[in-house]
Amino acid sequence: MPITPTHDSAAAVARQHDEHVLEMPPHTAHTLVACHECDELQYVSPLDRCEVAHCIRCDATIAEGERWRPEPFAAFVLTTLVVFLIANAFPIVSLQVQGSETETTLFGAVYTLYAQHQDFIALLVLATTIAFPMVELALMFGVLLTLREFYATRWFRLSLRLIQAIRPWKMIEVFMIGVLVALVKLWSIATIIPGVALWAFALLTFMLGGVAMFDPAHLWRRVPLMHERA
Amino acid sequence: MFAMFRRRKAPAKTPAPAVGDAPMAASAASRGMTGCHVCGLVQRVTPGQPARCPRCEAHVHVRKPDSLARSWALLLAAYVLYIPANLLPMMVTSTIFGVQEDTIMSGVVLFWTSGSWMLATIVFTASILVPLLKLFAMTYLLLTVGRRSVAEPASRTRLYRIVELVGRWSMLDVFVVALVVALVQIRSLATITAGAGTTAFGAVVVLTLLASRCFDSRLIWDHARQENPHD
Repeated sequence: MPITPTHDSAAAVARQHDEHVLEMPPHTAHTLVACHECDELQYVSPLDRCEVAHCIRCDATIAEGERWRPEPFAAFVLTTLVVFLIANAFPIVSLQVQGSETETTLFGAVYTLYAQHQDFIALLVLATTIAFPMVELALMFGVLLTLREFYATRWFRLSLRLIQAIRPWKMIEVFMIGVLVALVKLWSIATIIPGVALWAFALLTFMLGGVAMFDPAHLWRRVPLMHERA
Repeated sequence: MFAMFRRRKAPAKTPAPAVGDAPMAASAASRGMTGCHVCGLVQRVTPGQPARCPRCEAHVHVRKPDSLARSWALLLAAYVLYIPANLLPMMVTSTIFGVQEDTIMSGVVLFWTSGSWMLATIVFTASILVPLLKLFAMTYLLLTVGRRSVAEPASRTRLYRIVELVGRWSMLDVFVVALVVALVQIRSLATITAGAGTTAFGAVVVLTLLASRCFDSRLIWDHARQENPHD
């Protein structure tokens, strides 16, 4: 059974449930939105790709135009995943003092903390810089790859929910600035040789910014409602 | 291409249509509806009855459950841990000359006196200003919502937005410690180990992030709307 994109499913539900209170939206493609910051109920017209809709009451961003089409975005996510793996596979910097040299990867840093019995901090760094970004990118790629046939599956919904839950907890950009601060700190006591991963992390920071511009709301819109599923 | 990065206000956004003569100016809750916190679908809910979103099957709540109590609990825990986070050492440097312990503040002072004013400012902002701002801003928001204040809902929402935006940046010092500790392990010269302060500081960051996530900014507007329903 082909599943038609339920572009205005939110408005449809509202109409179905609440015909007496809310009149028909100005245009059928309009979406009914309750602002997530102030709960104001309002209609949003279809947005152009560079447009952003703001709440009429509190000015929060309540909807974004579709800046990424799913297909090019899948390619971009895969590229980001490759850069992420490079950033983790190679040393970030190496330090030379009087003939002895130390170098570390991100995972090496986590392991050192663990070895010093700083379990909580080791876990925190592991989660925010390695586990969460990787899980998000992998799930996002999986979701985009299996797009058409799997809108109605449980797997699709769970993945999207997990992606959204993880999003605020990944902190690669904060880590990147942390690396720079650490390097300046060590600048005076040792010779510092930037590694491959340093450049990979710099690139990754910008690429994750691009990934963040994808609004999962555009995928949710395609998910059929419970009673529409077979 | 650059159009992609330009943020533009949508020209046509429409308030939900008028009922009678008054403009709608209504919260979803007052219409017996709510927007799903996961997928955004606006749906009808019966108060007091557990419901699941028909699209993403998340549990739907009109307001985040026990928002104020949970936020207060997390925030108070953060206040308590803020003290050891600033008093205990973040890094312990052992050299042949002895052992030196660095707290957050002494790290900033070291940057400042060694001439790296830029970095001193960055670290001071991320590790001292941002956590304090978060603690005080959340306290203010929880107090005003707790006593059903109707004043300045727009500015309070903006404050909440800022707290959500800058919160993550206080992790900066934790990452600095992680990297420095991993690199400076030269047995003949110096080794640096992470101090107990890092755990306390990391906990403060996580607790304040959780506190702001548990806070429901819609509560700010609930009381303001009851006061002036048609503004």
